[in-house]
Amino acid sequence: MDQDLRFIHLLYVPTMACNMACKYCYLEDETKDIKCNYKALDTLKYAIDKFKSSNVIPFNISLHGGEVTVLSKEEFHDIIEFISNYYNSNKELFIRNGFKVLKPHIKTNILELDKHIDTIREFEVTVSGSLDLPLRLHNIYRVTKGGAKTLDRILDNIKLIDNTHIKVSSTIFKEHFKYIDEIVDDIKYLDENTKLDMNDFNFMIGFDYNSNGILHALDEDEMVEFFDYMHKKFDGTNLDKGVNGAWFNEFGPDYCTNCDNCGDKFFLLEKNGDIYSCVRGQKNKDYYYGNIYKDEVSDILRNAHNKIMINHNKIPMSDECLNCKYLYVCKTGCPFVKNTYMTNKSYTCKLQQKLYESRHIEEDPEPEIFRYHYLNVMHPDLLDKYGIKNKELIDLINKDANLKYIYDDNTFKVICDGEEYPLESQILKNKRDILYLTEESEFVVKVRKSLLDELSEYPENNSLTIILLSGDSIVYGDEGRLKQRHIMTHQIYKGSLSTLDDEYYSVDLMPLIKLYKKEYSKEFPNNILFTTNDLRNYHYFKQKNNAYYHINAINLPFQNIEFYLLEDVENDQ
Amino acid sequence: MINKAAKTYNEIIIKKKCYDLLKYIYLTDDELNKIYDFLLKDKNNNKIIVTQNSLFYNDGKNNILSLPIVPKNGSFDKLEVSCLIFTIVPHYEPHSGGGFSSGGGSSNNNNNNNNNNN
Repeated sequence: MDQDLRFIHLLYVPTMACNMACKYCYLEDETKDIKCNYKALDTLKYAIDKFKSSNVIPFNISLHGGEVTVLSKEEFHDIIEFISNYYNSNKELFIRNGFKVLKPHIKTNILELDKHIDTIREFEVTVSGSLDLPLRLHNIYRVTKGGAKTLDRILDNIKLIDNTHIKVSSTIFKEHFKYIDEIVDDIKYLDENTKLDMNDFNFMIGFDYNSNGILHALDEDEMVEFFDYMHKKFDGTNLDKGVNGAWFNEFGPDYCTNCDNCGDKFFLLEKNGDIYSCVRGQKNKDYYYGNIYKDEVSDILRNAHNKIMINHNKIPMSDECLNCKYLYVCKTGCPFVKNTYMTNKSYTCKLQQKLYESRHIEEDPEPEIFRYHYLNVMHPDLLDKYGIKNKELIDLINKDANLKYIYDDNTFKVICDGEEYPLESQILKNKRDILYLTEESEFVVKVRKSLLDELSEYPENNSLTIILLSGDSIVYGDEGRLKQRHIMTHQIYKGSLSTLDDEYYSVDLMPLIKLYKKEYSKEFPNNILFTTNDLRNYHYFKQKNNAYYHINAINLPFQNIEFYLLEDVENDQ
Repeated sequence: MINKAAKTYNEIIIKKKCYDLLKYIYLTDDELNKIYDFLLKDKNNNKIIVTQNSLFYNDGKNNILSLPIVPKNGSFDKLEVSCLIFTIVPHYEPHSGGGFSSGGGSSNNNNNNNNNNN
């Protein structure tokens, strides 16, 4: 793999014009070409050159519309020829980096495919077309601008192409779903009476967006019902391969949503140079990445990554996804649909789970590790909340009730300038909180009263233990380890602790902090830890008796917070 | 450098936090000054979130602006800076074979040769 190269999918829209007027078209009245200073081929060439100069390599270029077949024969031929030559000239690069060398590909309504059949045959163009199922609805919804039916002409055009080079897909809404038996019959009809390989067919599940109010999305139970019904009708038939494969592949792990951030890989280019995420985000400012003529590729890439991330973060990630063992394959779904529906999970969640089970896609045995990775990349705001805990140490704590209070995250809190911070064991948490104190700061520790009684034979002789360590390190001890320099250990016996309320004692820490102000590191955060004398003794007793505990708790396990003590502006600069 | 003199303790604190960001990522003076101004603008809500790739201006609810950054090291997965606190999420490296390499601790600080039993 060439590490410095980024390989992308490029969907190119050489024209926005369309020869049909599908009643539910998401592009609505955008299906016309607006006057543009650039020729379609010139924009594609320019974009590919400019991408390549920034080490961005389209390995897959598909033509999309509008409707690409409305291009003149010459223009269509020249674009297809260019793509074919581009694939051939980059053949070794693609193979070396693990990509198939493709043939030019178009997405089309198939209505005027015959116009370009010579070019399609010359360059072995692969064709992806759309039909409405049941076919009866195709003639109702997918009509020409003059309102004429289109199905017969489309089926005639399908006859012109080798069946390995054409596939069709159908989008299912409630209006289709209610004729599910007709869908089954028409799939059989297409299989038996056309050149289409219906094992290489696929369903899409429609969502409520720009369908002029004509179509209505399936609910999640209906999606699963649809999936089950197709399996009931086609499992074990000559279309078994399709129903267990391509038909529902859009909901499997190989689709565009199976990347952490689709903005890193998928781009849609228009003839005027505008770049969007994909057909869903086309003409939407939230998915507009820039213009290839006007913007630097680095800016376009950065916008793409950041816009997709921002779109995924418009609604907080759902608890369901955070705890889902399929997060590693689903990645929470398409951000465009999530924001359209104002939901925070994939609109086909149930269908996906059903599909994963039926295809034996395993649940993630350690979902917290992928979750951490995903949050790191897509939701860093949640990262500290879902850190990876040391399981071995947690197991040891769970096996020894006496260890519980040493690690309890509900016994110490500090208040700093009006803000309260619950303290956690520094070796169990996965984050470091650093306070910036000044001599004017309020800095108080609250200690749960009951803690002084835990593991204490004589609580009156037990004490709150406060340990101060410098951020600077020194080598000491028999191990010769580099450790934080010890500044002081302070003990306050139970009888001397001030009662804050029924639940807590409190200690003003600032006098102590100021007492040692010359000892603090200015470069690295200093460390203050809290425990009781008896808990501390038990920690060392356990270390002595259990090597596994010692290994896992080799650093001080107590609840802590880090801090700087700032003196004045000049010194801190 | 931040080109404004800190006049209050709060400004001193924010300034120090901004300079501490420079221990982890490369920032221009202009970026540093913008971050300083942003944090001071809404002390209760505004925060800066930094990952290994990006820096986000967050208004307490949403990331309202982002810019790509170059980290100085791989020691962190996330930094979060607000008027209140500076939080570091140390880099976590999944590994097999037991043991745990990354706690939230600042650095080695076991002190087991000090048994002070009065």
